[in-house]
Amino acid sequence: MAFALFPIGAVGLSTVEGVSAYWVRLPTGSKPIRDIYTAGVPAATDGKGAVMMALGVLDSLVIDDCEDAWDEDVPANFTVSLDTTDKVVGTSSVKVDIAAAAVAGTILCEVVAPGTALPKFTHLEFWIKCSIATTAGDFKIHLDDTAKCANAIEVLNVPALAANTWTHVRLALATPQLDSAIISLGLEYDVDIGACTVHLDDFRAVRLATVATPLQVSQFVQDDVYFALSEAVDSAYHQNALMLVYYTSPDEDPTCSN
Amino acid sequence: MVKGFGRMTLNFKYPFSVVGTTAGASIQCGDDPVYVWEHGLERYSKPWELAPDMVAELEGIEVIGGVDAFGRRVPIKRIVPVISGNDIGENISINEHMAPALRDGPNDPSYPFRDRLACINFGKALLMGGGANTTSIKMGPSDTLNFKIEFPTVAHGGDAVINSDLEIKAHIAFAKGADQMLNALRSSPVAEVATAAANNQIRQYEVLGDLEISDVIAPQVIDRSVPATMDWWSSLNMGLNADDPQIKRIITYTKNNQPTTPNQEMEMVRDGQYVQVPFQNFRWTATEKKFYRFTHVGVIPHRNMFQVKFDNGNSRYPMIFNCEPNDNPFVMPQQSLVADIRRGGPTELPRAYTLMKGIGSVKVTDNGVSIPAWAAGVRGFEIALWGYEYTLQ
Repeated sequence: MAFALFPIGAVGLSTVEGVSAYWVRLPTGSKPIRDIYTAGVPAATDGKGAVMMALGVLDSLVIDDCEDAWDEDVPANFTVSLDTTDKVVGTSSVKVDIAAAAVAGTILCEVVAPGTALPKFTHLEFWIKCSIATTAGDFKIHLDDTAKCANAIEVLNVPALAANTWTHVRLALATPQLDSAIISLGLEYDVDIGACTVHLDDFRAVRLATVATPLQVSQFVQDDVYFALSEAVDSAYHQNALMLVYYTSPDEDPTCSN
Repeated sequence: MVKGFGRMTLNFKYPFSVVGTTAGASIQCGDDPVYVWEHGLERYSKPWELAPDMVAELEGIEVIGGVDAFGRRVPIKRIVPVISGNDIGENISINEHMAPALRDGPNDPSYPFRDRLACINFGKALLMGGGANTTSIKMGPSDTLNFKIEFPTVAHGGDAVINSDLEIKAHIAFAKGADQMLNALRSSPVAEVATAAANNQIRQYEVLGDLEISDVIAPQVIDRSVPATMDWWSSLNMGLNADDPQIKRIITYTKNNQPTTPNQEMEMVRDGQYVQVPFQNFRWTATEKKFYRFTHVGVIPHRNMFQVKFDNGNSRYPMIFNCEPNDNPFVMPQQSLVADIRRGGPTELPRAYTLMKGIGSVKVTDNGVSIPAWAAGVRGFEIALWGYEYTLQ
């Protein structure tokens, strides 16, 4: 049995030997692959195939499920509604129409469960879509222990968004030890980017820890160092990822003639 | 005059990391000042030249590198000796897998073309006790030695840019001074050589037959003697002025230029473009004057490869071998990846593949799934052969 342990980033589609797949190349100097387990997703403890060890969600707490329209404070030029057709989680998302006259710095707020305690969590995750492309910091997410996000404890930059594309965002909480009694969640229109429509869904606090995730190997190039995963790896959601691959190399194949 | 006798190695160095080249290029020592040969403290950017009273034999070469940043051997289309400006590679086309460094890794005495520390993949030198049938490359007085490296095109699986160093280690036997040459031949353990030398002759001798077809063609004799003077040296086998009857070394390979049709034999012939370039044609017509004998084979199979057949028009029982990645009897001396194991190939055939007065060819069959043709980023299979071509008077 040969194995390789190496850091890995994003894995997208690429072409090897004329085949488009989610290819991964073993590090330089690795023994080539004579055989590798491709029959399914192995258990993390099986010792075969590929296992990814990365920061993953250990547990989570829903802060707002976006199943009702945000209404703690709806500023001028903001129109908030529920969208039951364009959503990611549950039966609806929160739709926010922002008029051209909206002023930079305006905050849309929603009441969250009284005294939501976040100290044991490390990140905030949510889905967001905007009708126009944005850059990082155009929108900000506020968490506050005072009403209407009057004096926010957490002010987190939403990363750049592609137009009309649902994006799953994971933001590190800046001061989770102070987030002991959150009562207000806000979306700040921090930069005047003009009229747009924003969809929001499934805000939750998450705690990340290193988890081992077995992955299915779909194919490999025999006697070479390429194997393909059955699906993509998004480096944004598998932070500090290491991949551990178990396989058979030619020099230990019992049927090898030499 | 200074006399000399012995073996030496010349290191022809091509530091492509300093002056790189590109796909499809052809490079020789001296093309750029950084491409040099070295021997001890000598270092020149030009061909190596024999002294006017010197004869030599190129017994073999080791190809060391190039290896890319990912640990993969850089594809080479062809390495061929150039003697006094002449490409003598009619049957010599060595790629990156076929002539490993003898000291790359553990000392491997199983490597078939080895004589002590010398690489003898062309043939053991007459001067060093080689047989009367040896095909070491003969170089006469004032001849020069160079090596040409050709790289494949990207379409044939080559690298677009070659920027890792490559070295050819040439193993040479030499005698400086006519009496040194004669003494060496007279001391040969080979009876035909020593006896002839005692009579001031250099004799080349070989009997070639094939029991299977002895009723069709009797064993044939190649027997040629020339005066044991330096002037005649380059008329010996594999010399620039070699004359019939003679024996030529074959070291070559083939790669498929077409995908296989599932479950059908593909004949490795240039007609129909089944191989990439003409020298990869693996179909031979042996006449009453020209014969072929292949002794060693190396294969890097494709995962869909199933069988290799050495077809022989004179035989109803051609040699057939299963040849799959998991069951490959013909190991190539070097694999594509440096990290792969060293396997000590090529493999000697259980019986030499001999073609006399008939047509023969190599045919490949897949396992029911087509083997793709070589292309940019796509690999097919590769078959290398080591053998001899015999031409009668």
